[in-house]
Amino acid sequence: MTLAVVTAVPVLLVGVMHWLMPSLVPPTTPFGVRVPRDRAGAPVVAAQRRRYRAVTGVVAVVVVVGALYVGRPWAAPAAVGVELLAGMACYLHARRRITEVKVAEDWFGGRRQVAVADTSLRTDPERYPWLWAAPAAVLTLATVIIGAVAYPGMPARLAIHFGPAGRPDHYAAKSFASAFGPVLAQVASTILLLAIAGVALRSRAQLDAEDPQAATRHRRFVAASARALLVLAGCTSVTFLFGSLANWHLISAPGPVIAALNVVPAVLGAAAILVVVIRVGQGGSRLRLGGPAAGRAGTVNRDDDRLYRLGIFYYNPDDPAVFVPKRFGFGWTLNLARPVTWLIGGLLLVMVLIGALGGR
Amino acid sequence: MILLVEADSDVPLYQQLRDRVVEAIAGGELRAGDSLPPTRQLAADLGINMHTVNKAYDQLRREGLLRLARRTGAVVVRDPASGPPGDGVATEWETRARTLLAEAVAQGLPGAEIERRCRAILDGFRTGSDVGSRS
Repeated sequence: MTLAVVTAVPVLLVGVMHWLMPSLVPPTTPFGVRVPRDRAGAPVVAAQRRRYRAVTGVVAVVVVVGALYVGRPWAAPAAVGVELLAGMACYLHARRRITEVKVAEDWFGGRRQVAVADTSLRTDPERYPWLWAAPAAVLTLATVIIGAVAYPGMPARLAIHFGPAGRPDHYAAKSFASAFGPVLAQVASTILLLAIAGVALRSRAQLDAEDPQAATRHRRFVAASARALLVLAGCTSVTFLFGSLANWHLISAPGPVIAALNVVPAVLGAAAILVVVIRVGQGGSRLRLGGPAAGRAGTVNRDDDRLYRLGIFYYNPDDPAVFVPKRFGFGWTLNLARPVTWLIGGLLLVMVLIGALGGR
Repeated sequence: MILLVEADSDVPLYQQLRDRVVEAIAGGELRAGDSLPPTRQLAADLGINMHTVNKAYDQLRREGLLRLARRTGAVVVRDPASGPPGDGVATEWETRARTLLAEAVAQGLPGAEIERRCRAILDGFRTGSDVGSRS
């Protein structure tokens, strides 16, 4: 029973994500291919969307059945891995087919290709929602203060790991590292999420030249994304705070309660992100806005397919932007032509390595 | 203000940017005291090289339309309501207008037709400027 749940839930989540993906992106970039707006409903686009959903759906069912048939502990992660790879293959196939038709029928032939910026997005930018950042900041600060005050009175042996039932199963001698290691992780994660929210607000406005409401979409998209990230930061801080209180033997609750304190905030944070993803869409593409639907006559977005390798990796040495919108999916990716990108990647790698070595 | 640049145009990108800003000032969409985005941010939004934006801003600065500041980006410093133009502006402009008008004449556009079209463009700027001064 447990194995069935552990296998089916992640596969189902990935399956839902696959099903959603084609309708999260702006209509002028189906499967990461730049198309003029009047081709957004072309037969090949509709056909590939149906095909992508059908194949990823079948794959989801097959990998769950396969994993349950094998019945080993490694089968669950393997099932998700296979599902993700199959999803990637389906995406690349759809992308190639749409590109073939686009090139063969010369969709951009004779069109005026433009890039658009709205200067008011920069001269009157979205404000950082400090009120939304307050819970995460206050909870993190509270953890630090409670820890500092309680440290002298903590027992000589601290619980550092809890089993699945919420009962401690690993202990360490009391030290600065064993008492405050998780607090440092909490501080780092809070700062990181607050910073990402700021980066999101200032990120490049990839405006659709054929959409008169593009600037409004961008504003609502970055405002909602930043707020969702700050909700996630608050939820993460709750988990960290109760984790530390349990480590320090300041609270003792039945195992299931501890487990719930771990799971519930994580689910809430994920839900906040998912709500924004579904309601707002990439770049605000899913927002229903009133007003004129037609764009400037004769102008289309610049065909920038060659800048997104495989529609996934953005490489443009001319572009000073570091964070650029993902072409297929929700959120941002990095401009691989910028040295800062490799610096960020290196730092993340170091953090992961420290985490992996520190956890042993 | 909406800045629109054409990727495959014969007109260089920096020239397009400069022209759009001048037109926005003439039409009242931009007025003295209004800000333009910092170089880096405008370049990032358009996905173009920073030097391109720099070049456009610098030309507008030399033309006395923009003031550049390190932190605040660029600020428009004159508009139609700022009084008479500086020394030599009219003469320099006339030289270029001469070429533009010559193109029309050489292509056989009648004088009256040229005048009518010039008048329509000027009127377009004026109505734009009236709209701008109300806010």
